[in-house]
Order: sequence, then C-alpha cells, then structure tokens
Amino acid sequence: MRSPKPALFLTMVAAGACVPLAAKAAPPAQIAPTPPPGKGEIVFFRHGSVLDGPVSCAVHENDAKVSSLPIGHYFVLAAEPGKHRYAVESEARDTINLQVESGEVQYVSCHIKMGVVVGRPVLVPATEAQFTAKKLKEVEPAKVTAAPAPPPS
Amino acid sequence: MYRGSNASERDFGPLARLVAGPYPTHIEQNFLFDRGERGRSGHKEKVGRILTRNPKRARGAVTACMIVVSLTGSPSRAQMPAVDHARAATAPVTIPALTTIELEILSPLSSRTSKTGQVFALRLVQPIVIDGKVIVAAGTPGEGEVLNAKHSSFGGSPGMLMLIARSMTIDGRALRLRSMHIDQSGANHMGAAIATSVVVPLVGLLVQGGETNVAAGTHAMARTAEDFTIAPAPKPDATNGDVQ
Repeated sequence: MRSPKPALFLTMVAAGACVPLAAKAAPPAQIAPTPPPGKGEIVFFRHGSVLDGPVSCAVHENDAKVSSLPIGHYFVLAAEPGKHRYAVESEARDTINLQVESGEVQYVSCHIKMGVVVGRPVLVPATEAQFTAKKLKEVEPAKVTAAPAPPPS
Repeated sequence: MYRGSNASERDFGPLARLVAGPYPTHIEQNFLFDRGERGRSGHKEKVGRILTRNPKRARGAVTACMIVVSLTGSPSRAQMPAVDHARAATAPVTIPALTTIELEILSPLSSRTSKTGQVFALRLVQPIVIDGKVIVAAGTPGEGEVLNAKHSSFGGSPGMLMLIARSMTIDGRALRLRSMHIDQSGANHMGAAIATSVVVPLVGLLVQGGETNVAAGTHAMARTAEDFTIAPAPKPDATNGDVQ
C-alpha cells in the first residue's frame, strides 16, 4: 500500500501558503461603535511617534477636560447634534469646530507640531481609513467625560 | 443626438410633423441631413441626393419612421420626469428628512483667505424629484458655512478647510441641510519640521505647511435635515381673469 505521507505533506504546504492570504484580509484594527440614538459620535485618536516626545494631547470642550490621548490611543465621545468646539493646549491653544449630526461618526486626529519650547498639539479632521490604519488602544471609557453644556449666550 | 438651439423642437419634431400633415421638402431634407451629420460628409450628401431625386419615396420613408417613433414613444421624452413644480400641484408635497441631494459650491475657497464662520453660496445640482415630479428645481440657491479655516503655519502645520451645508431656500423658506462634510488639509510637513530640527535645532520652525483650496464648481452630497412640506400655491381665481 502506498504511503499517504507525500499527500499529507503537500496538503500542509498548501495550507501554509494560504495563511498570508488570509492575514491580508484581516478586519480593521478597531471599529467605532454605532452612535446612541439621537446622538452623534466623535472618535479622537493619536497615532503619534517617538518624535512627539512626552507632549500630552488633552482634549477640552467648554474649558472642561474631556480626556487625554496618549500616543497610540483613541477614545469615542458621544455628543448631542449641533456645533461643538474642541481644544487642545500646551504653549499655544488649537481648536476645531465640528458639526455633529445624529447617527454620524466623525474622526479627529491629534498631531504634535513643533513649538519654540515644546511641541504643540493640533487637532486635524481625519477619516475612518486613517483611524483604522494602525492598531490603537482605547482609553478607558471611565476616563472620558462629556463636557457640560455651554452657558446660554 | 441633435445639436443646435432648436434641439428640443427636433426631438419632438416627428410626432409634431405627423400631426401637422404634409411636410415641406426642406424640412425632410433637414431631418435627413441632420441624421447624416453623425456619419461622414459623403454619407450626408448621399442622403440629401436621394431625398431630392425621390421626394415621394423619401416622404413615405419619413412618415413610416414617424409612425414608429410615435407608437414606441421618444426615449428622451419617456425617460424625462414630468417637470411639475409644487406650485402646480394640487396637494402639499413633503420632502422627507435625510433626502440625499447634490450641491455645487459657487465660489472658490482657500485656507489662505477664508475665515471661520464665513458663508458661501451653493446651488442644487440635480432637482429633487418625488413621484416623478420635480419638486425643487436644479439651481435652487443655498448657503454653506466655513466651519474651520486655518492657514498653514510654521512648524509644517497644514492649512485646513472644513465646509458644511447650512440651508437651501425654497419658496422663501429655509430647508435645513446636513451631512455635507468637506474636510481638506494641505500638505502636512510637521514630521519633516521636527526631523529637520533634530539635525539643525530650530530650523524646522521655518518649514511651512501646504495650503488647501476648494474650487468653484466642486460638487458634494448632502442630506435634508428635516421634513419639509411645500404647500400648493393658491389656485388662480377664474372670475378675475387671471388665468392665461
């Protein structure tokens, strides 16, 4: 009787060759959850690099801290529809206005640009593809606080 | 396709001529000449000559074509939605919330010159059609807002433009719009600036980011933010002779 070893060997080689193909079709690194009913969502993320140094990227709204973004992290913030203004600050302040719509997810990336003394964080609109391009860790949801409503003007 | 300023007349010409009865020879010649324009010039002349030599035969052929066209219907006419503005409607028409529309930006915007909060003009590109009727015509004006405008700065920071659609004016009322997000950034040189400064301290501060521009004529998709009912216009009073 003929030994089944060669056939078994070939099968194993073929299966091994298929592994890289399967790895290419891997799901995105992270996915933003669906916004709660009647609300929109903003995903703040920071890829960052070693060049960023120890500069923090703490996101504020209405002068209240929402959360901090260490390098390689993201957090998801549910927000009421309407205009929102978020800020990051170090030696200079940078802001971004967002029009939040119910049921929509928007992405904002934090970068560190060069400053005179220390780096300056800046907020830049981003896309879902940029968000999912690298694997990021989620900031603990308990450390994310929705800002209080702005005072009536 | 027919060309020229009287293209629409020619589209419905065969049916009109069929109803009108006898056809002058020059109309037949134009009809066939126009068809011949799609081919080479030699073909065009040949068609013209046949028509001139055998007017009865050509007239019969043209009539047969017209009958076929009138029975089957003109494709351009069949595919065209009935242009019937809400003013002519008999019942109120509601444009549902989240109706997708296409808008065109009418003025050029640049991160170098635009200001946050600046309002810019928009117009509707495709008409809003409900149940085969044009409810809001193409070209209806609207307005958008520059949500964020930052010019590029030192340290390689790029210029940024974020644009949203605010509203469209229909019959003097504003229909609120949403979901148009044009977010553009110029070339980001922040990494290059930091890397340069690692080699030569502070020189990276001189690195400038790129500006970004949104050209006039840029199209973007948006959605209506709310249900919007268009009431029918009051019927003209038949007694005062306003009806024309």
